[in-house]
Amino acid sequence: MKVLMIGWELPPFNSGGLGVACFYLAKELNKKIDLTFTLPIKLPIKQTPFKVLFTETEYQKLEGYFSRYYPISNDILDLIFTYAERILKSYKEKPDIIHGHDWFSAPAVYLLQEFYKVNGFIHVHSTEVERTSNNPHPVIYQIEKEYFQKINYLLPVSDLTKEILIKAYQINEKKIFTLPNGFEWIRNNYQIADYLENLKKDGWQIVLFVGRLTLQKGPDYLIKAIPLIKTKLPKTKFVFVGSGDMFPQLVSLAYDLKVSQDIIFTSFLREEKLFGIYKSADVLVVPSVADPFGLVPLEGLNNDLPILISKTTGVGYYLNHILKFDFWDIKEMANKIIGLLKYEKMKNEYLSNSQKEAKEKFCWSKTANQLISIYNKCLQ
Amino acid sequence: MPSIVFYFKVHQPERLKHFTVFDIGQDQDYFDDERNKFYLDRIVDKCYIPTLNLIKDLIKETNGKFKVNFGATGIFFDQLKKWHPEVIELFKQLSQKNSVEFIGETYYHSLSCLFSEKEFKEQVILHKNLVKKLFNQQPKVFSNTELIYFNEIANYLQDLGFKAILTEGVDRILGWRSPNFIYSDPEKKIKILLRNYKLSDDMSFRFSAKWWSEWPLTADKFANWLEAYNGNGEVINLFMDFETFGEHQWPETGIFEFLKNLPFEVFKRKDLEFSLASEVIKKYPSRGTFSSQEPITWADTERDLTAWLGNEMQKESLELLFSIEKQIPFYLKETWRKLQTADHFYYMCTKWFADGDVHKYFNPYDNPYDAYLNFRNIIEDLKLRLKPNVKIYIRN
Repeated sequence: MKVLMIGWELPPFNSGGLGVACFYLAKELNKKIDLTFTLPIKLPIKQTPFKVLFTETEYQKLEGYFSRYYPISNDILDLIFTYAERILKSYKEKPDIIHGHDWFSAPAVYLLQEFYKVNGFIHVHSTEVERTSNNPHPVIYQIEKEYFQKINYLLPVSDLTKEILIKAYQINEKKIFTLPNGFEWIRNNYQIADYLENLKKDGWQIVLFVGRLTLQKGPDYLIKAIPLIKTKLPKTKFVFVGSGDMFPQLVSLAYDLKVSQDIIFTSFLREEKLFGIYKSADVLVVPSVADPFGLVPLEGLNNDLPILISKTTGVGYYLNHILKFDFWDIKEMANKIIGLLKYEKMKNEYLSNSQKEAKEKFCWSKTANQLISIYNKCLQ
Repeated sequence: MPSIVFYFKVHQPERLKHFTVFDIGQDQDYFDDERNKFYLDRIVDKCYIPTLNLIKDLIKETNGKFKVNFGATGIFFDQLKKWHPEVIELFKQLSQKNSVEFIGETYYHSLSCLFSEKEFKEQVILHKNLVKKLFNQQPKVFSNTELIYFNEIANYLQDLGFKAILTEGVDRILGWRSPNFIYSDPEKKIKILLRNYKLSDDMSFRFSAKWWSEWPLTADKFANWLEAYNGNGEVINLFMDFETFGEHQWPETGIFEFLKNLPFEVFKRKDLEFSLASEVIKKYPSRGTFSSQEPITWADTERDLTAWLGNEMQKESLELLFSIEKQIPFYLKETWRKLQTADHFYYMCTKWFADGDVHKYFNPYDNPYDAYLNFRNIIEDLKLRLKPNVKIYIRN
């Protein structure tokens, strides 16, 4: 089976979870089938265990390329709509399957699907409706809706996203197959952040948020919970890792709630530095308003951190050993954060059981096998 | 002639309100009356009223030869008194016949026997008094919460005047021996009636299981199985939750028809009879000793305490609860006792939970950690109420 995978980014040149998911999925698939992974521009990526096809030979800088969301420049739109043509210039075989990721590869997948007369798949890691908390950019929404309807099959990463595809995009349920992400459970190298370690030595506890500072990820709800948490546990600091358009708003919200001194904004961090912060924290909170899957909770578990997620975080749909809250329910969020910080036995029991369950349920080879059986089903 | 001993455990816990850390010290109530009434309404309708009426009819139609034993907790009767006194009336009507016996229980379906002999005995006496008051019966046979048994219990029960206890016919203790005889504890203080788990589970668990080779189970077939024990058994103990009828097994499964036909199928066969627990312990001698140092129960395949004391959260919660026993003032005693109900700890059970195979029956929590957090917050609040110099309100 020959699969042409239409990609957008790969680590370390990635804007978030998408590039990571693509990398591990392609790596596992490549063990079992013939896979070619395309990137629209030339990037100095690390060596990959699978074939990568750049449609450009020269390195190129594009405004807004790694902010997958905003702003969408004309250059980016141009790239999206000429991507298929560029692929055809250098890819000379006939694939059995075209597999793209999210809206920016959707036009290419559709055009190639029609060109080769084969099945096209769009792997939906998130929809514009989810990324913007139901306030979609009209152009992106239009592209998604049009091409998602035209492409033969959709692969949302959770049933939450599947629901949205049916309701907000009017997609026929029969062409949707949910495909949960896997996770690479490895011990990461990490670099301890001294300022956090010093706080810990002084008896502070650390609550961690990791994610883009945007509406979708709900960082404002966690900030609103801080005054409540401080009433019970005054020696608690809140670390926000990530950057995003909501940053100024969060700073003024913290000021208004008189909790500025309790918050540390670290901006976007990668790899060792990020994992170091996971190591120092006591609990990870994921208050997402809508998160189709959510890699961050699994990263938390991989770094031995108990996690607390909103009911609208997709990964929670697959786990039983998981503590959840409604993202808007500030009091309940605070109650559970305090519970995990205060009650040692609960924290330990919960962490070990949720880690064990997540390791059993999320693994890339399992996801790859599931995907191959979906391919086979659709080829018949 | 084997005697069939039907024993139905009847219990409903008082489930807790959602209690956050912010409610600690705010003088909040612990129990969720609305939810408890909601569940009780449902089960009264689906199980208690139709089944009690059916049993009443069967006793009448068989001239009192159909007999059953009830182990109903005090906390269950307390809730009936508040919301469904008509069900108590039904129990009372039944108790006037000589075909119904009430078995001793802990009043609050408590795990106290594992932590405090004093508290255990007090609760058993409370329950005895309640049975005396409601039904004018003096329980002589005891059945512990979840049929917990270990040798030490025999001493407690002898002190309390009981003659026998019901527990599980655990294979690892019985070995080659049969549960269909009466046994006694090693010191011969009390007799022991052992649940025939195969036949009991055929009725209460496998009855509607279409994967089961014996499905559908008819009264005729079941009576044949009972008859087969003729000559190699003296008692056939069928112990199960009363909620088997109409709730665990819905009416559509045919469970009511089964119960309706069973006495007549049994009487078609010569050498079978229904008996009260106190009758069989008089009729048959002990045929051996049944000894367990470790607590056994009727739960899961392990038949042990792991559903209530299997993880650290459960152990800590129970230890914390009993660590304040001596400080509990009289006006908090009932509250403290209601917190001992085994169900609160069962909700914290984490084994099998990843498979989603949890016993979700009337469980108010999404997961064991929510159950622990809620309970723990309540314990923290209760501890505050014990502190001197704290203004304490006595509830009406």
